[in-house]
Amino acid sequence: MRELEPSPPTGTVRIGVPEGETQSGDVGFQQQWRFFTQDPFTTRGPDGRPQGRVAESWEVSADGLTWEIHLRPNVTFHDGTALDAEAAKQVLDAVLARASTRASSPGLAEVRQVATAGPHTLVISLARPSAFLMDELDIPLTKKDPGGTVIGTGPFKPVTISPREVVLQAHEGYHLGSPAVHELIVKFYPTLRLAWASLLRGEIDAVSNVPADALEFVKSDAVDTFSFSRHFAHVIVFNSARPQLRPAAVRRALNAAIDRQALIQSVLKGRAQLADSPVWPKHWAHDASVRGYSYDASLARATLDALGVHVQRAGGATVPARFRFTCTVPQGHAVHERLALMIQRQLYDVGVDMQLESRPLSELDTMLRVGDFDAAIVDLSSGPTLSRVYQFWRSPGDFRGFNMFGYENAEADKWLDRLRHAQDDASTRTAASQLQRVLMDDPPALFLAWIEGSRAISRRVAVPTEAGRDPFADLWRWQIRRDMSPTEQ
Amino acid sequence: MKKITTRFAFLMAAAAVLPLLAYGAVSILSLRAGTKQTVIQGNLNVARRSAEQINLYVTSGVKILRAVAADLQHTGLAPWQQDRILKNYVLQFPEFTELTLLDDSGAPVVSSRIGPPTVSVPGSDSVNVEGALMSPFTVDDDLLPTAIVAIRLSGGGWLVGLLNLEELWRMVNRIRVGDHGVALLVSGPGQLLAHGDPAERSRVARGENMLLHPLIMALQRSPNGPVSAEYQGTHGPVLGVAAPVTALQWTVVVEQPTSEAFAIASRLQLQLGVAIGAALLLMVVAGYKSGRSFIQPIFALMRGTRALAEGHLGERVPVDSTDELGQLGQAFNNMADRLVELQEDVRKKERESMFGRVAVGLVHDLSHPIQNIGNSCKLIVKMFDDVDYRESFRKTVERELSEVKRMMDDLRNIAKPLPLEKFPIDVNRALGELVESMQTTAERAGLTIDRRLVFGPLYIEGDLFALNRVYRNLIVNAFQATAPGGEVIVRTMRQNDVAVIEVADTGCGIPTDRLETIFEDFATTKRRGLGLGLAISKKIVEQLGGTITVSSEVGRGSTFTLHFPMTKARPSQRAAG
Repeated sequence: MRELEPSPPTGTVRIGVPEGETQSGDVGFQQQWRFFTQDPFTTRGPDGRPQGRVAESWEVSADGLTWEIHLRPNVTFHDGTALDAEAAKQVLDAVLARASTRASSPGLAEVRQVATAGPHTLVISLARPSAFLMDELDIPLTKKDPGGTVIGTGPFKPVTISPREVVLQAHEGYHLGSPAVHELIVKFYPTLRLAWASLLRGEIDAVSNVPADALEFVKSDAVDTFSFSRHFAHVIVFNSARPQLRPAAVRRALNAAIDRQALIQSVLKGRAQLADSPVWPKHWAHDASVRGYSYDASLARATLDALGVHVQRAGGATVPARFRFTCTVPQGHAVHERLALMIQRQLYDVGVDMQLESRPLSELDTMLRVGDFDAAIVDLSSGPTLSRVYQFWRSPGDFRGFNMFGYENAEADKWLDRLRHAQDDASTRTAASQLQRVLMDDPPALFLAWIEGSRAISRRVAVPTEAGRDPFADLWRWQIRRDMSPTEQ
Repeated sequence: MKKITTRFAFLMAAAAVLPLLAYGAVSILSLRAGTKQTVIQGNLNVARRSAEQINLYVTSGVKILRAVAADLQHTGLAPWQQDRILKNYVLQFPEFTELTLLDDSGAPVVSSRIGPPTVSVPGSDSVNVEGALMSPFTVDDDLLPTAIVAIRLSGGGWLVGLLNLEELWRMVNRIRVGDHGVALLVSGPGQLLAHGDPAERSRVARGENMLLHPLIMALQRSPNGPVSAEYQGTHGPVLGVAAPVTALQWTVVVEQPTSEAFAIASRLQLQLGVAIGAALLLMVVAGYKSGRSFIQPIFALMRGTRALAEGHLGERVPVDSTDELGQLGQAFNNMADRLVELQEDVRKKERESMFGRVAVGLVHDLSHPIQNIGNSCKLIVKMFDDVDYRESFRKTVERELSEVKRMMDDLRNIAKPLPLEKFPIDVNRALGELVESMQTTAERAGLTIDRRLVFGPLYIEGDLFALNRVYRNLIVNAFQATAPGGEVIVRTMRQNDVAVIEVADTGCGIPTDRLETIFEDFATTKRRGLGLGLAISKKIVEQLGGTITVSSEVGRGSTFTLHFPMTKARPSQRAAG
């Protein structure tokens, strides 16, 4: 990689965003360009620990109820005004004022009051100690001008916004350093094919999402591909309220019946990491000693037999099976379809008939919210923080979260709450380990694989990103290579 | 003018290398032609094999579809069973992303798809592949190449599959010829289906039409191919070959940059050129060396001959061989040895001759005074009392001793000349006095001596005593060479700033062959005497800055001419100065 030297922003980088959802967890056009314009208090490191962005440092009181957050003094909004503690407080207050925040964010739900203690220090008072607070401060710091336009503090500022193209300009006052690229154009493409063809023609410099199938065809002398771990997992979530799926032993048997490695190799082309629990395997508190599920069809059959769930020879219209349930698959999602077909066959091998139905994503979303489903294949953003695990799998109660799956386990709740209020690393490790064990005994879903994402970027651009990290997260550091003219692309 | 060595080098080079050059040129031409054919044939083989593999790949898809159809037809399977079969096939054969059973009206009966089927029976733009209909190739929105394949079921309806041609792309990607040769796959209507160069795949996505591609055009003119051509590719000239995928009406084109395709021929050509060049250089160097070694003895002989001519009789040539040149060198050395011996003989004889002459002269010159003195001594005994005779005796002895002394002085002057003292003297005056004093001697010899002196004084820087001796020698010689009745003329002239003195006689003259040595020591034309007079005279004249020459004609007489630079100084002025 060429050594990068600080210099005034120069050149233009064009990024194509195919809107057609090729892979769950993909960020759409609107979200993508905003991502380049906004900067949060914190981001998450690869091990799930919070990393300062606008927040430079923080400390917590001995009782865990008061957090002092020191903001970087050199952060400015795109309009040139400085971001101080008061502005940050207003952002936080606005977020906390939303009912959905306290209902779905276990860390922010504990906040009693936000105050300032100096020009760049925020003081957050909590009702109870929270280990998730800093995880959840991945809130972008924005404000609105009198016209209602959102103004951010990110490395790029919007210049013109249209439905199919947004032109961004380097925010030279960006607190981490001025972007090396002067102009960033984010373009909408209806299909990956069109975006890819534009990339190969040199009309754009990057494509935001490239599916695993297409990687080998995209990579060339002119185009490089960058793969990185996403914090999403392919999961078949169960509606645990359904009678046939209610027994934990049934769900354990189903987990044992799944050959995850075969799924990863056959459907995901090896570009994924095996998942057997909702805990991000690279999380600093993840207990690798907790044995996950291994493919064992005999064990699955034996477990189901022991439960008295035997194959029923029904009429000619249906598959003979021990029991059947329906898995809803988002429409038009080839990977999910393929995964579902393969799992269907694997489950059929142990006598379980997983019927498949296809629904538009919006319809599936509604079905999940109202609990009108047996199972569904979805991508859960279960990593990299433990607060995500809490959001999805804490039994619904005073905290609602995103547990739409009817999953309830008192033991799991206990350890999830311990995680939520842990005040030191040891407590977190213990709780995480225990939670992993409980979720192995009473699995709420079929955790299949952690997704790997890929970006395709022209070699005209120097991308100073370490392997395994999303290059878009460092886009402000990209540079146009001076030794490559556009015609060399 | 070229040296013999250079000519020799060129001769050898031409004789040895020109045939080699001719052979090399023919070899290169044959090599190029042969290599081109070999490369074309090799690339054609690659294209043909690839075409067979592509054909096999697509037709195997059709076979899978037939196998599915066989499982579905006339088996009385329930719809769920048919559904299961289709899904299992789709999972088992990733070439198919979808399998759907359609009834005669085109409505789906069962499908491997979880959602609504996406395939239908291909239309009129399809091609027949082993009884199956195959739609045009498309690149789907997920960037994967696909085609719809359908077979008619015997019981009615269609089995339609969405064939994923991703592996076809891989196959084309894997086709490599050399480092930069790639393959292209073109459909019958000219659509670019696959390209082995990753940078060119956007053309595939665009469905670029290739009907104007030189090979596709050629193949359309000559459908039974194969064809090959050289043409301009995207990155420069390429060698292209094409082979048809007959069953699919597709064409596999293999393109390789000509620089790479003919690299071996070019390399061999270069190597051959270098070899020929090296051989040529070697031959020139060898020819030059051989020429030098051949010509070196001749050069040595030339140098030796030149040295002998310059008198270096010690010069010899090296003799390193026994061939003709060696023998010539040996003969030269023998000749030089013989010349040295002859020179020694000549010198020895000259020394002997001179010694004889000197001895004879001394005997002659001494015998007369000694005899006179002896005779006088005998008479003095008898005539001691005669006073007149005693006086005559004294004079005689003194005269003869004086003569002996003069002779001795001559000998000493030859060995060690006396130093001269120059001062301005009037030539006319000194000559006039001398001629006057010798008038009597001339008359006694029956000669006349005439002086014809230029008017006025004629001053030169000279030694009066030494010059008088010169004049006297010349005049005495003239007296001796001139028979009685002859004449001796002493003449002076003024020529610009030069004083000219001539002593001419009407004597016997000097033979021409003796004129050159007349001024050498002990050279004389007289029958007696040491012959030192003219030698001493010449030395004196040259010591005084003058010259002496002689002209003579046998039987008519001789003339000695002296030239001296004149001086304007006078004795008194010099004394004053």
